[in-house]
Amino acid sequence: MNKFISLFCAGALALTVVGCATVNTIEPADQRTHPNLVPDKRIITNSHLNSIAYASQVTESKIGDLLHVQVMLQNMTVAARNVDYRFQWYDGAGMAVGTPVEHTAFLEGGQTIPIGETATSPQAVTWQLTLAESVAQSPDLNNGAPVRSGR
Amino acid sequence: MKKLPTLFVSLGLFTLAGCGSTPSPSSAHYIDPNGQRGIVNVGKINYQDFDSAAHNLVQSLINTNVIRTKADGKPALLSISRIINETDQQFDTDSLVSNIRIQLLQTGKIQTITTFGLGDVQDPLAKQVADKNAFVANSSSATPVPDYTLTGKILMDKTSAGDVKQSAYTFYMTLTDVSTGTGVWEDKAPIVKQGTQSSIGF
Repeated sequence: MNKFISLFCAGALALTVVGCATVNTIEPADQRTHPNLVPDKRIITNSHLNSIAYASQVTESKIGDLLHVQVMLQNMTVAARNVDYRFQWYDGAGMAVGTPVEHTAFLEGGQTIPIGETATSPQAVTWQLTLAESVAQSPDLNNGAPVRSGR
Repeated sequence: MKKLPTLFVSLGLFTLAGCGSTPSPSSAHYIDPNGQRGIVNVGKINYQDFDSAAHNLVQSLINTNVIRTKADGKPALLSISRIINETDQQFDTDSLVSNIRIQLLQTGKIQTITTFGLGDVQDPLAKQVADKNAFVANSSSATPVPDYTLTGKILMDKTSAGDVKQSAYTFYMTLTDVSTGTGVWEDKAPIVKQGTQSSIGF
């Protein structure tokens, strides 16, 4: 019994330290979208990162002659986390096109958000998404160091 | 039990090697200008903020697909209008505008006019040459007329609660179709920073 109480207290303490901010989501039950799903290849070197920003769906579309990609990121943990990401675009010969800009995505626990980018050059035919845990996390984990927010 | 020393040695080596090879922040070193290791100040617009705002605005603009190329398929002509800095910080608005120009040019849908603009033109020598050529050719106008103009404003809002400070910078942009005089695209890119001290990384 004592062991159970200790375990419970330890679990509760861990949750308090990590912070718990999960979301509830609601959406239409019927399928109204017909996304162009793209099979992807993944290189996972950080399984923890994969659980806080799991790419659950990859879709592509065209805006004029520019390629657009959208990735649904799902936070499968109960803690709110920040994730940095960047898209690098490549032309048909596999050469890098343009300069990638790094962004920060803010994911509440259990939340799924879309991240995406449109190629700025019509020469871009493919892309690579790089994800990394943010150096600065939410305020309670960051000892008051600045937290940056954008879109 | 005998495996314990080996475990400690392995752990020590792992600690020494570290997971990354980031140099100490105190010694001067280069960082990835597009990466996450730049200095972040709460009360200041940092280099990466201009990059991020410009990128988000260009993404919004090309996603709306409002820019129409000319009838002969040539890129539309863009001229930069007034960009107002309403923050308490002094900076060249080109930090934002040049980023936007570069990315828009890459799309192939737009070319910027460098010999026409408010105040000083971007390239006075090119304007001088164009004027001279027009004079020699007895032409009335040496300056191309823009199809679109880009105008904007940068606003700031600062607040605090206890030791925690927050700065919100909002970059507004409007694209006007000169032929109709109407705004065909408008959007904002907010950057909000919060904390008690400066740090490295987003």
